[in-house]
Parts: sequence; C-alpha cells; structure tokens
Amino acid sequence: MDALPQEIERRLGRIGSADIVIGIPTFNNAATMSDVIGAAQSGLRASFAAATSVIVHVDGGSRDTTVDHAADAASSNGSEPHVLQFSQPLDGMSQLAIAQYLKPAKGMACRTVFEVARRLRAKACGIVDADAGSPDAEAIAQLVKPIVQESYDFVLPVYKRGTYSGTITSAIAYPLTRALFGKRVRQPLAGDFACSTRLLDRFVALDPWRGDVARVGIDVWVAVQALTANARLCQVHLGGRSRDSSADGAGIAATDMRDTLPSVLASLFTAVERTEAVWQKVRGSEPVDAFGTAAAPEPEPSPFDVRQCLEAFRLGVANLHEIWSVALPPTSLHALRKLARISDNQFALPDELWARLVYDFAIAFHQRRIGREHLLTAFMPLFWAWIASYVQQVSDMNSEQVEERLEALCVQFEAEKPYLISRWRWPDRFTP
Amino acid sequence: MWNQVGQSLNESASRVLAGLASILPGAAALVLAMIVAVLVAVSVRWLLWRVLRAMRFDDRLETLGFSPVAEWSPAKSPSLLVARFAYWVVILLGLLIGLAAIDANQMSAMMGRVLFYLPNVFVAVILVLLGGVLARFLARTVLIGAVNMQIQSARLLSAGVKWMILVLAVAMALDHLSIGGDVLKLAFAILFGGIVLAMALAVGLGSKEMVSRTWEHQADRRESPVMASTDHV
Repeated sequence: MDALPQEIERRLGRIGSADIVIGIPTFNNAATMSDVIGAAQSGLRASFAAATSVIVHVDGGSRDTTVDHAADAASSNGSEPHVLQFSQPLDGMSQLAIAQYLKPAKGMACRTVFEVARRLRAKACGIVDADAGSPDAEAIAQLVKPIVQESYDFVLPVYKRGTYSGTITSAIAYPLTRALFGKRVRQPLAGDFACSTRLLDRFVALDPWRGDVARVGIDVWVAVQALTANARLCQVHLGGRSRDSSADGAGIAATDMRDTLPSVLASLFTAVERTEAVWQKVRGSEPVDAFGTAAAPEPEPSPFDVRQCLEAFRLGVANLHEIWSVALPPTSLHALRKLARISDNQFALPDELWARLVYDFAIAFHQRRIGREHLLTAFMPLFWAWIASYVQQVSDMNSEQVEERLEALCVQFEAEKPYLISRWRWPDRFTP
Repeated sequence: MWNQVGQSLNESASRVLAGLASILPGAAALVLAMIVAVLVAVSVRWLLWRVLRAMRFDDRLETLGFSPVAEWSPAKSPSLLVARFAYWVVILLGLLIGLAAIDANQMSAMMGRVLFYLPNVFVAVILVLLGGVLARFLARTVLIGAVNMQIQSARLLSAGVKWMILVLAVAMALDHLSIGGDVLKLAFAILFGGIVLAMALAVGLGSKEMVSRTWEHQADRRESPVMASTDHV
C-alpha cells in the first residue's frame, strides 16, 4: 500500500481508532454528493452514537463540483463523524477506461478506504456508492449493523427494484453466482457492501489492486471473495434506491447497455475463472440470512422495445454464426436458428438454453478461443433475446410471480451446472 | 583446300563433342541432383506433415489467432501448407545444386542473387500473414460492432474492411518483392482515389437524395431496443 497523504496521516493519528468506517467513492457525483455525505453522517449519529465513526470520501478525479459539494456537506453537518477527503487523480489507464467501462477507479478508491479502516482498526467498513438517487440515512446504518452487532463478515444490500430494472443481475449475475457458489445472494452487484476486519485483511492481503480489478469489477471481486472465503454473510433489505442516471462514468444507468454488458460479463467470467477450484465442488444452493422486510418491486412500464430486441437478436443470428460457433456447440446454434424463425408474439427463450449459452460463453472466455472483447460483445444479441422473452413473459405478472419466474431460471442454472463442469474440464471431449 | 575444310570440320566436331563431353557429367549430376531432391523433398513433406499433425499444429495455430492461415491453406490445413512449402524449397535447392554442377561460376552468381532475394520473400510472406490476421481481427470487430448497432449491412461492411486490408497487405508484399513497380502504386492510387472520388460525387451530386434516404433508413433501423433510461445492472 502506498503511503497516505501526510495531512490524512496526521488526522488518522489524531483520531487514533474507530469502530466504523464508511467509504464513499465518487466520480462526477455532484448531484448527489451532499445528500450521500449528509445521510451517512445522520445515519451513523443516529444508530451508532456511542461509536467512533469515520467517513472517507475518495474522489477519482471528478471534473465537476463533487469535491466542493462534499467539503461543504462535511463542514455543515458538524465535526462528528470525522470526514476524510481524498482526491485520486485518474491515471492514464483509468482515463482510457472511462470510455469503455463503468466506475473508473472505484477499485482504487476501495483500496484507500480499506487501508484507512485497517489503520483505524475499524470493526466494520462499509462502501456506499455515491450514485444513489435518494440515499436513506437509516439504510446506510443498516448496512453495517449486522457486522457491528451480529458479527457477520459481509453484508450485501437488497434494494427494491422495478420488474425491468437490473436485467443483467436477474438474467446472469444472480443465477450464475448462485449456481456456482451455492449462496442465494440476490443482488451481488449492488455496488454497496460492508465487511468485517477479517475480510478487510483478506481483501488487502490478496492485493488485487493492479490491472482490471482496480479499475473495474471491484463489486464482483469483493462479492466473490466473500462467497468463497467461508465468510458469514447476510443480506439486508434496504427499500428503494435508484442510481443517478446523470452521473458520468460511475452512473451505470447512463451508460449504454452495449458498454455495460461486456464489462460486467468480463468481471463475472474472470471471477469464474479464478475460482474454478471452489465452484466445481459446490452442489445446489442455500438461502443466506436476511434482515429487514423485503419490499415488493414497484410496477413500471417496460423500458424495452420487444420488436427491436428481437430484430437485434435476428440480426445477430444472421451475421454472427461464425463467431458464436467458436463458443457454442452445434445444438445451441441450431436452437438459436430455430428461435430466430419464431414470430414475435410466440417468442420464448427456454431457460435451459439460456443457462447453457451463459456457461458456454464463460468457457470460451476461459479458453481464449477468440479475442475476449469480440466474444463478450458478440453476446449482446443473445441478451436482447433473453430480454424480449422475459418482457413478454412477465408483462402481466405481479411481483411474486416475477420472483417465481426468476427462481425457476436460477433452478435451471443449478440443474445445468454439470454441463458447465463437464465442458470446463473436458472441452474437446464434449461435442453434442 | 579440301584438307583445310576437312580439318576445320574435324576441329569443330571435336570442340562440340568435347563441349558435350564436358557438359554430360554436369547434366548427369543435374539429373541425379533432381532425383535425390525429389526423394528428399517427398520424405521431408511426409515427415513434416506427420510431425505437425502429431503436434496438432492446425489447432494450435487457430488457438493463437492465426486462423486466416488455414483459410488460404490447401485443404484448410496449415500443416499441409508448411509441408508443401518445405517440399518445394528442397526441390528448388536440388535444382540450384544441379545447375551449379553444369557451370559453377555462373550458378554461384545466380545462387548468390537468389539467396540475396530470399529475405525479401520472407518479409513479404510475413506481411501477407500479418495482413491476414489484422484483416480477420478488424473484420470481426466491424461485424460485431455493426450488428450491435443494428446496421443491416454489417456483413458487407465487414467484408469490405477485410478485403481492403488483404489487398493492401498483398500490395505491400508485392512492392517489397519489387514486382509490379510503379504500375502497382499507380493502380492503387487510381483505385482508391477513384473510390473516394466516386463516393464524393455520389454524395455531392447525383445520388445526394438517395444517400440521404439510405442514411435516414439506417438511422430508423438503428433504434435502440432500450426506449427509456433504466438501471441495467
């Protein structure tokens, strides 16, 4: 770990130790910055009045007034909890990454927060994304409570979302992590999390702070580390929270799906690759402890145009056969060609096929049968097919039925896991 | 006089016969060299092909991203390409050795020129191979990008990029081999200049409305499947 700035070192020396550290990585979050700092201060004061808390704001080179807003909010809300501010200018790679990936420098920001938490010997360390639309003071406190009061190692939030929000999580991240690691963590890419000292030490010791993890994929990396470290983990239902779509770079909603999907897939498939020794031994899945009351998703109009989704899929079937055939076995290719001929209103992508498609792409990513960027971007038309199918299936469903629908998908991912294992171990032997 | 004529004829006949006699061993050596070269070439081809097949050379090459080599290889097998290349190299060497046996001085000079030229051939082959790999990579990039942007003529765009780079690579290789000379450069200048001029004229004059309609049509078709802002992750 590089030395912290001298001013911060002096302030850490004055603070001595802390019970809770809340880290807030930012990048062009001027719109929400004041609210997030204010909510963190209020939440910590209200729920942990007797504890020493420190808020660490790490800015990744914002070009707006994020830093000024944070300073104003910190000074206007009293001296407790302490607010430490860092500014980490973007390095060359991060500047390049902004164009392609989400959340530049979040990994580096987390590294700084973890280091501060270790220096202060904090019992709990939380990371709160600054691209929260309306942060709730109570929610920020709830995130670290299971660690401080119940001795959990890792806490992930479950936010109330609309039926059509978080499609990448619903279609890929949740079913895949659940099938691989056997824990039913509903929103593994939530962006916010809290961890104990034990996990903090593990995160810092593993030193992932070079390469892609430092720039992108820190959310996936942290969640997978917790899932594979035999840690005590739980989920906390924290109500609604929307992302700030105006945020630049950090705002996932603002980025195009065509940029978001490949970067999330890259993070997930890299995690699959690095944990192969763990997930091959896992069978089935089990629920994890949960706190709070699960809120039903709010009904919302579909933001997707099914006709356009299907047109994008059919264009992929017509043109990307050569690239898909590198990753997919003939049976899947044949099934996709048949699907492309089905009329719009009867279109439905079977869960079994979808699970195999995701697994096959993970295997092709691992084997580097083709350039990884090509492989991941070529997945896009398949995802449009899933969205078209999903939108048509859930359009008339209530929230419970939607959850049942996603549960069926997860069960299918678990059922198809032997397929993944056999192809992962013996890719040449398996030619259906 | 008749004696002198007879003597001249005898002398010329002797010279021709002596000349023939001096060439004969060389010719025999040439034939022998060719027979041996063919035998060695066949053996080398067979051995190389077996070894490369045992090494799964074709698969490895494809894994390393050199799949365009397979496309241009006989029977889509780079192993066969390498084996046949080695075969013809041995034949060529046998021919040069045989010819050198006929006239050592001239052949040595010729061999020198051939050996001097060989690096150019090597660089030209590398240029074509690299061009093939680059063409394949960029063609894929364009194809996937165009499909994801829902451009209907994605395959056409991809093929255009692929062939442009391939033709450019072949032209560079030929230029390196000093084949074609100025004709090649002129042909390229005319070809590319012509294409650009034709496009400029098409957009600026005759087909202005048609091009505009085409782009409008493409823009309509490229509506995003996502109609409203939402959190995808």
